[in-house]
Amino acid sequence: MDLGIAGRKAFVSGASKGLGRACALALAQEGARVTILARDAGRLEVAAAEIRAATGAEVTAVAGDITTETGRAAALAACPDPEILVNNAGDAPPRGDCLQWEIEDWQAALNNHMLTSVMMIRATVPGMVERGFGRVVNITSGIVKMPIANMSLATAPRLGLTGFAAGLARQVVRHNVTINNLLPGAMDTERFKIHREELAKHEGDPHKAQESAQLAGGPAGRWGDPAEFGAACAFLSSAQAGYITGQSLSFDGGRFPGTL
Amino acid sequence: MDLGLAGKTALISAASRGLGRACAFSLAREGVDVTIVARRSGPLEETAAEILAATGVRVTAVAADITNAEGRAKSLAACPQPDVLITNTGGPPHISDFRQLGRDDWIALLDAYLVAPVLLIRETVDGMIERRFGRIVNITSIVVKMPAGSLELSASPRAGFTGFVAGLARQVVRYNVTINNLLPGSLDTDRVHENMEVRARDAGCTVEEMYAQRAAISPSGRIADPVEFGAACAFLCSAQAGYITGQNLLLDGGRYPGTF
Repeated sequence: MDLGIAGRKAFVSGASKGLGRACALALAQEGARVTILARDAGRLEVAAAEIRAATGAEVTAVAGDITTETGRAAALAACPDPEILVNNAGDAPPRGDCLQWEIEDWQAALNNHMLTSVMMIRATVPGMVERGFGRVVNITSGIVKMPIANMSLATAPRLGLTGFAAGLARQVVRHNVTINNLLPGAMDTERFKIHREELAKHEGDPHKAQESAQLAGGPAGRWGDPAEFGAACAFLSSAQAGYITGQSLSFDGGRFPGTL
Repeated sequence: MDLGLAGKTALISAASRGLGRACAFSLAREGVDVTIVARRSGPLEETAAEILAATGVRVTAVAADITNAEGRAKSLAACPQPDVLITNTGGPPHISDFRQLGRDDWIALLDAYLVAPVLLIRETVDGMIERRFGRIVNITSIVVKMPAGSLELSASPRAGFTGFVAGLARQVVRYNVTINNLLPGSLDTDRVHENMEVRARDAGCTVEEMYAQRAAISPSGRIADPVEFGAACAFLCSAQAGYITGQNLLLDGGRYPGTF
């Protein structure tokens, strides 16, 4: 299927590894010109070289921290008018009892997991509206629909972003600009591996037992492959997906147990 | 994007026109051999010829009514082991006054929107499990998530069917069999045209005025092309979409006003 995005300019944050990298790769495979950002310049250059080699696409790497104003300015200087924006911001916040966090902890989480994406959207959506084409994909998380104990710092800000996206999506769709959220469940990424290890530590269980418990817990009996996730991101970014907006698409192998 | 579907087989019901036809077309473009079913052989043969001419895949046309046992048997005899099943229900919209309907009318509605697709799934899903690949996409409707204007009576049986899908999806995903629902809002199909005619007659306005009103209902300000719907269907059937299951994906240009 030709997704109709060859030559389009895409910006992807958190793109040196995991889901961000997979999204950048999938967009590059469709011929998009991608600008990728991450903090670790070394890893980012490796990812950029790999994506270039695999696709022949134009790849620009910007080392920076998207959760800071400086990082966002550098991103927008390198890619001022993205037509596709993939928001994948911030480290996994610390886990712990939701009542223990101070206001500074909450402010940091809000900055990383809500306001960073809001600011990137604010900076780029008006241009998309003007040009009559735009695709925004926010990588949020399955926890938006199903909380996990001790992960409130990751959950609440992403729900804030989801609410923001829900409103704006309906304002801009008439200009062929869509905003959707992809909600990954248990994915085979470094972050999730760290998460599993932390979980094991937290509960004092041996790694193996914990991993198999995680696997057994999901109906799919496996973790998601980042390449599969990248394909979903590319589809939502496609020319054909202009009537799909404001959606929160679970990407979790059926883990979320709700009917709707 | 190569959807990894070349050489697969698909059974698509109510495929002579509208959304079913669009899905058959987009699957055929990916190299899927399609068996298309509809009641009236005239439009069905036309569609079959068009798909064959455009794509060169093997196209089998079965004139049958999948809402009865004989029609289903005939369809399954032509395509006994589909890798992909698209359930769609044809016929005019059901926006009559429920006060006029008795038990037999409701049984007919249940037969069309719940029993027929459930039985098609029953006959095909075990083969998919055995072969470790299956993609089922059910074309339901936005009315599953919100009442849409006049009382669309298909809402109730579709909601029941959605409950069935939610449960089964989570049982079979570990075998690489996914079941998702696509929920169309306003797409430019014959069915919507007939719907517009009925509504125009009720409202005492022209069909064109009703179309303009309908387009304005969605924040997108437009009625979408069935081709866009076909693309979403093909993506959900892709090899890459094995971790997406039990989802209800709206194609409504943001008309449904909920955040989730």
